[in-house]
Amino acid sequence: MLDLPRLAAWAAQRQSVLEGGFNGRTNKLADGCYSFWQGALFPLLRALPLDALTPQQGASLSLVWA
Amino acid sequence: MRGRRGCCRAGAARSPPGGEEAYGARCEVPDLPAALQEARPPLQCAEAAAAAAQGSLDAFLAAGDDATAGTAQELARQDLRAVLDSTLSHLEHVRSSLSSGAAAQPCQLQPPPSLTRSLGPQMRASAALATEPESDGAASRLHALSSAVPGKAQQATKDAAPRMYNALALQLWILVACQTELGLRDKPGKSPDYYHTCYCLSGLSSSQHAAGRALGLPSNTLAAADPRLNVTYDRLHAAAAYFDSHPPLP
Repeated sequence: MLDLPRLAAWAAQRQSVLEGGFNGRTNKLADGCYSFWQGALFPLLRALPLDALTPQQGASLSLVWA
Repeated sequence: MRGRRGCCRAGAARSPPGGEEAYGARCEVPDLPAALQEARPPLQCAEAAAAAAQGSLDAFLAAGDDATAGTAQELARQDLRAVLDSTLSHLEHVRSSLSSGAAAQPCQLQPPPSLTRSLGPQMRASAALATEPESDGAASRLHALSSAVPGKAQQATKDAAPRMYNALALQLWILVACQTELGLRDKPGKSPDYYHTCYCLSGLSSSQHAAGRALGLPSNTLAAADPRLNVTYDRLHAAAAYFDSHPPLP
């Protein structure tokens, strides 16, 4: 099963604070085409019920798999 | 024009690592903004974004007192103001979710019901909407898709700002950094190509309809596309009509 809260956290962190564009992975520069590949993920996530995106009690949103 | 370039205002200038002579005298490179120097938790992230948006607006206002002020100038000012407002709203959201002790919730929005209904069986189950009867065949699935996301669903989400990403900042990036006279591109310094033109515009459309507004002139607004297929609704309806008029595949 997908870890949806973590997916949402990861996707949100792909948006560069300075430029506003998205990158494809950590430590990469923003690339215009990820405006769709990452940006269009949010309308899909928004279509899910809110509790599907809410982390379980005690769950980590860390991007490092522990 | 003076002071229009905001990139060097973000941090104190310093000499490049190789010494001034390596790049020629007087050459300066800006420090990485503090916002980019390390991984940051959501609050610092939101604060940095708000500060950057405020800086952009300030720089624009400081440079906007010349005779070229006009409608375009006013629209640009409104857009920068909107970007700032959206970052401040996001900052407020992060602060309140932190102070309420809840883990940062990526989204506060209820989905538009019709969109949820049209997702595949697996997602429908997780959406607790499994009572809907299963339907078979490409035609009925396509029909479900095409009737699933009408203008009404978008209207319902229009009033609530998206919380999971900053759609206006994304639009600003695409319009300012990716746009050329020959198409759209990866980033400044790259050449435009069909691939990036397609997906920059797709992303621009997605963010316009997610945010409920398009930066710039109203004529900037692009057709909405289905978020699952990246196909505009008129094409989707046409495909559904086509398959409806044919017998289902065996």
